[in-house]
Amino acid sequence: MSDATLQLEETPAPDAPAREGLEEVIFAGRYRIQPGVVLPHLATSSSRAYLTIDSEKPDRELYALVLDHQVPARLTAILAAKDIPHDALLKPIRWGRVDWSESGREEIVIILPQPPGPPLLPSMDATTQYWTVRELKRDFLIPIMDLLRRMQDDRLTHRNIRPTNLFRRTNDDSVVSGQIYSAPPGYEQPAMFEPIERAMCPPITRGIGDLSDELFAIGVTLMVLGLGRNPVAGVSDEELLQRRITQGSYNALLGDNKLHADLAPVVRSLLRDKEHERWTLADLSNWVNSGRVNPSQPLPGTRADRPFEFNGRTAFTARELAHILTTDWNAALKVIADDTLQLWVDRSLNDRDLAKEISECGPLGANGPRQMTDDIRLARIITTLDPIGPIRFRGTTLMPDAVGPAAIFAALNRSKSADYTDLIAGKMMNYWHEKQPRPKTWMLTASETVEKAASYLSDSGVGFSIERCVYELNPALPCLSPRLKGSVALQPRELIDAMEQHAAGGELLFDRHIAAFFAARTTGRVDRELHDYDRASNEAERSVAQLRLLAFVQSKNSASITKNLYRMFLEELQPMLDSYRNARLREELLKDAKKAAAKGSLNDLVRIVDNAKKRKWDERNFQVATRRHAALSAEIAKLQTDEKRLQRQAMLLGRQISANIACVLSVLVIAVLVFSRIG
Amino acid sequence: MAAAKNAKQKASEPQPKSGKKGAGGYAFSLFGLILLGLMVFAAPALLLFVVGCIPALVSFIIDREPGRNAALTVAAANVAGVAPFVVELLMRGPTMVRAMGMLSDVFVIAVMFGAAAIGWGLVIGMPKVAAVYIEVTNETKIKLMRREQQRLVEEWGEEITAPSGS
Repeated sequence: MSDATLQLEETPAPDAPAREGLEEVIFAGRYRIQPGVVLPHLATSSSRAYLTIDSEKPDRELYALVLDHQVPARLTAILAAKDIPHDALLKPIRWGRVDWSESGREEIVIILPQPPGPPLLPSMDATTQYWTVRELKRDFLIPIMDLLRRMQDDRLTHRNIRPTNLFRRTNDDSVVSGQIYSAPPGYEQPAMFEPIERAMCPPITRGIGDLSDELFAIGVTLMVLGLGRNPVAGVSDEELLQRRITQGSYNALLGDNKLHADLAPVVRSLLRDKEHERWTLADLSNWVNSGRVNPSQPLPGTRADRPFEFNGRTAFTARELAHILTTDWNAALKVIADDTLQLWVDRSLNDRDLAKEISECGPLGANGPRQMTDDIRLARIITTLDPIGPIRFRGTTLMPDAVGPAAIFAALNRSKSADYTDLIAGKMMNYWHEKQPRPKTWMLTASETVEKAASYLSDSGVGFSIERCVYELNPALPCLSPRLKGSVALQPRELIDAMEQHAAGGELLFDRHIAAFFAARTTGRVDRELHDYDRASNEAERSVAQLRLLAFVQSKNSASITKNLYRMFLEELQPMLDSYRNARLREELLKDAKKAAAKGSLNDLVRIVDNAKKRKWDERNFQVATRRHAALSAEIAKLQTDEKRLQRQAMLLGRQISANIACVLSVLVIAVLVFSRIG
Repeated sequence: MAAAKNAKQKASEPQPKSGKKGAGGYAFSLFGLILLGLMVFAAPALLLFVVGCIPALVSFIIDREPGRNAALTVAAANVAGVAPFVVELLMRGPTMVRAMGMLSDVFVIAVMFGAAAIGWGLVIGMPKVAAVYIEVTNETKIKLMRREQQRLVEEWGEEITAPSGS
């Protein structure tokens, strides 16, 4: 156990659950998670850390990160980490769902090795002995730059570089990176470690980012380590952001503090707010290896003669104006109703081209949306004013490479959901891309993601819409259905198991989230079943569509026996069985259904209940039987009521019989006569 | 439509067998040969036979039903009544005096015409017996048909009793 390990009795974690979970939790039959021993220095803003013991190798020092269900783990990083042969990165050992308590609560955990030393800073408010330039180069930059190069080869970003997630080996003092798997890129970073455009966004919509974002985080880390403390501790994120926009990140973060003369130009070059002016990994490597500093020369920004006043705030630059406009969307809509803004840009900012671009935000354009709204126009104007900034639309702010995680944010909040849908439909991503002065490495991937999202949003049916975006674009996200009540499902089979458990209590779990989760995670297409569910005109049809969907998912993903679900569907679909007209067929089907119940295979039930061949036979023969019944009724009526026919029949038959009798008698008489005379 | 109905009705009525028509033809031919023989060799017997068979002739005239079963019945009964006297006349020697004597005998006339009357009695009485028989048969048929309907309802439900198309 490391020194930083604390007993729960002594220092409870701020967000640790109640003491219900003090009993050991076994994960994957091997890892014994100790809910009573929290590791606060390894916890993050979205996860809790607990000491973990490997039953097979008890001397390994491990810990388990228990994740927030509404924040997806970085599946790409988890999968790719195994192939990164670099010891400066903690690699996940195992991850998945675990039964956390006997009350049925489940959690998602990642098992990781404990870092080989303490964090560089236990918290962002803590102080430490400042690092010398030599220490920074040898112990921090060399291993971390090497790690970033290796990760870049695998097209993976780190986006979690900060002193609280960097650990110093106790044996050689070199720095090792902490985990990067528990949340989307940048989610756990304090805003100060993010470039301005990403710091403007909520943590979940900061985006995947690229190497320039890592270099910015390295710059801030160098500053903090060089000073031995966080120079902006205690400053709120909003205030710091405002300062960074007006003064630049370097000046806003450093404030009155002084960095070592050798370090200051390096940090300044790494903290350039314009990405193309920021140092590259090669520049930093050059400094580390040769000590040569080639500080970047920023172009002076355009500043207005007189400020633009909005809601009591003032803006002197286009970026400042874009930022303050987003603080009150409705008021901003009034501002763009006339040409005040264009005139200010033209006359005070002296940027006629930008003023012209703003005036051109109204027309739809070739790649524009079908319909222009004031909201879209304002979002376009904001993007025009601050093209490298995030997309800002009503209350939503996101980087275009965060469309996936942003969907989660939108799905959990009704008003954000509308913003998200309108933003995608309004083709704001296309407009943002058009406005970029320089292409970014992640733009093509982001465009593909947006197109995918747009296709799902165009269908509002169950299993599509925002919920489908959530699961398609976030492959490691568990099902967010509120009906799961403590159960966690990362895989379709886990969700089937959860549904089976709830079915035992007579509850059939099914909602838009569950449908979308299955649609996104199941191999093969279930869109037909989902559309059938949408088009169903009654409960029975809806149940059949549900059953077909679950049967398909079960056949593809789960070998588990679902007797309770089977029984429940059988009860629900009793009207379907009853709708068969032939009693013998009904009995036969019911018998088959009950016989197959032992296997608990939903596919068997589908074959029994939703059998088109038998349904056709039933319908056809019902018609035949109806006609036969009607014919018999007519014949009976005829026999009972047609007296005239009866009389005629009787007369003809009677006369026929009488003729026969008379003939026989006559022949007998003649025969007797003849024989008596002859005799 | 009406023609089809009539055809169906006719089809459902008992029809004389085609073989019987042939047999009737043979009988008629035989009957003709006997009459011809009588006319050539025993004209008084023919006279007795013709006078005795007047009811049969009348019945053949008035019976227009297909198959002429009524006429056949009366004729057969009539012949059975006439035959003993014709045979007796032939055996005793067929003279016109004897023939006229027999024709003027009320007993002879009563037997011959009485036999024809028995024939008529059969023609009138047998349809009533047949009606009872047909009624019993129909009831059995209805019972079977109702049983089949019941089986259909059990198998397909009450819905099949609804008029088709409803």
